[in-house]
Amino acid sequence: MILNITKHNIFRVLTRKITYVAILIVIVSSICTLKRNSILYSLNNMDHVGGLNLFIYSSIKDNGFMSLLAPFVIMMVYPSIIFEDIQNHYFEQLHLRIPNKNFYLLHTLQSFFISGGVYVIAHVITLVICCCVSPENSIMVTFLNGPFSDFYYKSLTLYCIVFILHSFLFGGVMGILGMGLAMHLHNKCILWTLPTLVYYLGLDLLALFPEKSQYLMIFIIPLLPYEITTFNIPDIVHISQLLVITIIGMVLVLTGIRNNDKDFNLYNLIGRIN
Amino acid sequence: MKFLDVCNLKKRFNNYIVLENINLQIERPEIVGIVGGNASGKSVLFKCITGLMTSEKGKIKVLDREINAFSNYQQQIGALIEYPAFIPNYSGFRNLLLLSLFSKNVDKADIKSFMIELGLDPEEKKIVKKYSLGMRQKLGIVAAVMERQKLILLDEPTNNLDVESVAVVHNLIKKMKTENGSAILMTSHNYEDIEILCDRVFILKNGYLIEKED
Repeated sequence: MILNITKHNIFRVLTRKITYVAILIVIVSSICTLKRNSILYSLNNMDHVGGLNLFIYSSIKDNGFMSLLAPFVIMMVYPSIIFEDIQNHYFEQLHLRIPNKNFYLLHTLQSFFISGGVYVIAHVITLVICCCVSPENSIMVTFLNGPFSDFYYKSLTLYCIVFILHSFLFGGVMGILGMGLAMHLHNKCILWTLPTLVYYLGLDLLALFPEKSQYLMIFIIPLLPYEITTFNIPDIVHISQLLVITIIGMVLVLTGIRNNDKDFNLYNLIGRIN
Repeated sequence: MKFLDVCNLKKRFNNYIVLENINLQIERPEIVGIVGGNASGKSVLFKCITGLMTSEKGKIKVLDREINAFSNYQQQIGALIEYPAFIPNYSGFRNLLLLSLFSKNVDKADIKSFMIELGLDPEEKKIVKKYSLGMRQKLGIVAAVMERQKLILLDEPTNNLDVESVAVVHNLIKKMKTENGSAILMTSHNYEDIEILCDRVFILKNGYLIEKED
């Protein structure tokens, strides 16, 4: 069943132009960031800094463009499909063919993997382009702070891999959030823009809390979680923020199921699993 | 083995009782009709039987396996409920092909033969968005029957169809019963459908399901 639904969903994702637009947005934003960073950090000899450095300067370090578009890109792909399927009742057509117990779980997992996959594909393409443009070995040319920066000082390759994995994770949790929102919203424009707005509200929300409690609140209030070079926060805090987005997404999915069917309840579900 | 066993089913939305103490058994390949006015709960009953909705009370068994929101086996039901839903930007054939991924009982040739039988062209590139209501309805019927399930639910299958197509659908329904050994539960506002096709008829009124005597 997992294989069937995966084949079904991958086929649908790959036959939509918007998927390629989303990947292109990630790549173009990296090129724009590289252009800006090359001036900002005086990377005069871009051809010789090495592919990994080019990737770090294009996709990771101060990638403000992507930070702005990160949730938006995710909402364009798989959550939009779920939204459309719910609106035109195709979701029910699928539901008839998938065991009840697995239906929403499978969709949530698919949303996670496909949404995360969008970033992985885009970043791998960018990395390949960077390595083709500058095939030289990369050596450390800058200092980096923020989550996962320990990996940077161990190995540039490892840091790039960790970043791609982190993007996958970010895309995945935003995918779950997107699926949850798609089950509640009736307007696709709101689905696309709401997560971006909420994404930025985190900073303002944190500022509302007294300074002393902010040390605790950063565990639960996501602060631009796509960015790993802007805020110098421990890895665990960053992961905790992603976890909070996942939980919000799951709650939205469960309330979405309940909105659709009032007799569905979580107590009953847990009871059955036990 | 019972094809369908609905026992004391109850469903309500807020304070409005839609289904009350519904009992329905289908024990052999037959065509069972349900008639009832608009909003009488026919589609809700179908949704409960397919597991798209959970019921407040009661049990539903399909081929001796209980249906509920937590069943972890693939359902043995083919269904057309309310209106046929498809991916609007794909052709009819591609839509059915995608749905066939979930079943081992159906291949391309089956889909094509069912489509041709109902007067649809499998080679046509026209996307579903541009289909007429009748074409959509036919596609919905193909989606419901193509897997040759033992229990088939058809909610007003002849809606939006012309006279000729209605006759074709009637033949298909009869064929599913006789050749495939399926039990068919259908609703219709058209009494002719019910009279021509059904072995037993039930009336759904005020939430209660009552068998109609001859």
